[in-house]
Amino acid sequence: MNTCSFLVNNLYCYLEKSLRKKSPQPPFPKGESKNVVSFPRTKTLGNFKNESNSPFFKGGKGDLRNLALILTFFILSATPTQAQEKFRSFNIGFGYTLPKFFDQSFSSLRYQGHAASVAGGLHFRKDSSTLEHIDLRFDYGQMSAFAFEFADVNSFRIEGNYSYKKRIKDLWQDRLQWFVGGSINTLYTLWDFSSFSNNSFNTSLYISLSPATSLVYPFKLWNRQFRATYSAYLPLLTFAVRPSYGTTRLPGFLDNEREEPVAQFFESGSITSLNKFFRYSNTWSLEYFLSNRNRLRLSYEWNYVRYSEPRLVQAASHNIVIGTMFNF
Amino acid sequence: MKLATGFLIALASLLVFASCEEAFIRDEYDDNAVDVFNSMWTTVDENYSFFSYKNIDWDAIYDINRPRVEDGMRRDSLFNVLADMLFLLRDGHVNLQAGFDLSRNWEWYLDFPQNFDFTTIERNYLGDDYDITGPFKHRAIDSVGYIYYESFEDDFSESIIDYLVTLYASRVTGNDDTLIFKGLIIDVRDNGGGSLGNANTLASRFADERRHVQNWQYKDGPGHNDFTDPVKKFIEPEGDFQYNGPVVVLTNRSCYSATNFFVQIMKNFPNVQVMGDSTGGGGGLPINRELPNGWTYRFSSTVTTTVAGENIEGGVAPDLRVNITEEDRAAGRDTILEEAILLLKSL
Repeated sequence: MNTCSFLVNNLYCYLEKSLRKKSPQPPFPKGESKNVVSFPRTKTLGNFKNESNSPFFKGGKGDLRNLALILTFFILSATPTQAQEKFRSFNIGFGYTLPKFFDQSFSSLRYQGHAASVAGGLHFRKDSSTLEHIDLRFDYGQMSAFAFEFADVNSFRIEGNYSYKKRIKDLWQDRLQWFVGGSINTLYTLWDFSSFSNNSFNTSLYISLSPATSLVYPFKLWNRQFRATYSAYLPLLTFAVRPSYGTTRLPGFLDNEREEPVAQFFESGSITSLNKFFRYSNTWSLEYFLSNRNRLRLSYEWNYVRYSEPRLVQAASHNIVIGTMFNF
Repeated sequence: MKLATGFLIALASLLVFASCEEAFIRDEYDDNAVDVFNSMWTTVDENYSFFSYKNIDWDAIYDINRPRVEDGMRRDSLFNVLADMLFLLRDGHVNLQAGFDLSRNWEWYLDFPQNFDFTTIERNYLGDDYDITGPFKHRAIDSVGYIYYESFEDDFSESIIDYLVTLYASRVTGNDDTLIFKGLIIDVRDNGGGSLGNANTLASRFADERRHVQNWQYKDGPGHNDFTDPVKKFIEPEGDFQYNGPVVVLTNRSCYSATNFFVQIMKNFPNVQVMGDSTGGGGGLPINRELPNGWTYRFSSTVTTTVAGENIEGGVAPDLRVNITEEDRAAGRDTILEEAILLLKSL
C-alpha cells in the first residue's frame, strides 16, 4: 500500500468515526492580525454529518472515501504553514468569461461571446503588512457580432499580473485592511476572424505599470471564516503593440524578410499613457477558509481596456472564477 | 446589520460595473439603410488603396449615391446601390456579399479576348495520357515540358513541386546525358489567383539567387495617400532543386491576384519570359469588412509595385505579346502555346 492510499484509508476511518460521534478538534490557528477578528475554532469534521443534506455528500461510503482523498491533500499541503501568520499559496481555478470588444480596425460592430477561463497564481504574504500576488489567466472563447448568426471570431486572451502592496491603514473600526502598492500588468489578446482572409488575425499586447490597491475584510458568517477582498489597478504607463492601420499585421513585421522577431515586435509598439490608453480592472473575491487555512475562492473581475492607436479598440470582460488556494 | 449593509453596497457596486461597458462599447452604426451606406462609404474611404492610382473621386460617388438611399428601402435595392458604388472602384478584389447576391466588377477580363480554352489544350495537345500531380496537369509536348496550374487556391506540397521541376530538368536520353527537354512552359492562363504562399513557393523553384522582386506599401492612415514607406519583398531559392533552364510563363487577362503577383515575380528571373496577353491585375491585398446588417465586403488595402516602382494593380505586361487568332481558335490551335514551344525549341 503506498503512502497516499494509506493516508486516505486512515482518514476515511477517522471520518467514519467522526460521523458516529463528535470529537473535539485541535484549535484553529490565530488570525492574521491582532487588528482583525481572530479565527474561530473550527467546527468539527463531524459537522459534515450535519451537512449531509449537501448535494455533493450524501453520506455514502464512496463519498466519504472521495472526501477523505481531498482532505488528505488539503491537510498535507497545509501542515507546514498552519501555525504561521505568513503564508504562500498556490491558486488554481476555472471559470467563465463574458467578453466584448469593439475594434475599428476590423469592424464597426461590437462583438460579444462566451469564453472558458483557467486561472492560476501565487499569493505571498510575508507578514500581515504586505500582499504579493502573481496571477495568470487564460481565456478561450467564441464571439460574434449581433448581426450574424454564427460565432465567427475565436478569442484568445492571456493576462498576467504581478502586484506588491503594503498595508497602510485599517478602516471601519479596524476591520477593513487597506493596501496600496503597484503592479505590472500584461494583457495579450488574439481575435481570429475565421471568415476573413488577409486580415483574419488581430493581436494586441499591453504591458502596463499601475498603482494598485486592495481592501481586505475578514469576517465570520454562520460560524465560518471568510475573507472578502476588493482589488483594483489603473495603468498609468503602458507599452502597447497593435496591428498596423490597414491590416492586421504588426508594423514591424510588415517586412517579413527581417530575422529578428523580438526586435521587430518591440519596434511595433509604443509607450503610451492615460490620454490614449485606459485600462481599469477591479476584482471582488470571497475566500472561505478550510480548517487547514487552505481556501476556496470565488472571484469576479470586471476589466475594461480602451486604446485609440492606430484605431480605436475597446474591450471589456466579466469573469467569474472558482478555485482553490493551496498553502505550501 | 453592518455586514448586511456591506454586502448590499458590494452587490450594488458589482451590478453597476457589470453593465457599465454597455455605455462605452457599442456598434458604430445602426442597421438601417442610411447607416449601412455610411458605414461602407466611410470604411472604404479610409482604407481603400487605389483612389489616387485610379483617379477616383470617392466624394463625388457619395454625392451621387447617397440620395438613392433611404431608411426602409428594400434590401435588394440597397444592395444595388452599394454594388453600383463599389463597381466604380474598377477592382476585381472588391465584392459585396449578401445572402442573395455577390457584387463584382469583372471588366478586367470580360472586356478582353480570352486567349485560352482548356478543352483545346486537353484534346489537341495533352491527349488522354497526361499526368496529374497534385493540382498540376503536365506532360512533355514536342520536347518541351508543359505544366498547367489552374488556381493558386489549390495547395501543393514542397515535394510535389520539387518532383516536377526535377522531372522536367533532369530526364536524360540513354547514353549521352543530353537533356531531352528544351525548356519548360508554365501555363497560368485562367488562373484567377488564390494563396500568395503558393505563388511564392512555386516561384522559389526558379529563383537563381535571392532577389528583390517587389515593393509593398500598407495604408497607415485615413487619407487616400497615407501609406507606409515601400517594404521590399524578396524571393530566394528554396527546395531540393532550382530550375535554371529556359522557362516561358503563359498568361491571359484572366490571370488575377496571386497569379498577377506570381507572373510579376517570375519576370525578375533572367531565364524566364512571359508570353501571351497582359494579366488582369489585382495588385492589392484585399481585406474583409462587414456591414451592420450582416453583409460582408472586401476591398484592396495595399499597393504592390515592381522594383522599378510600377504599380501592378492594372496587370503585368508580357515580354512577348501573343494572342490566339480567330482562325487558330476555330481550328483548335492554341497560338500562344505553339509560339512558346517554338521559342523554347529555338533556344
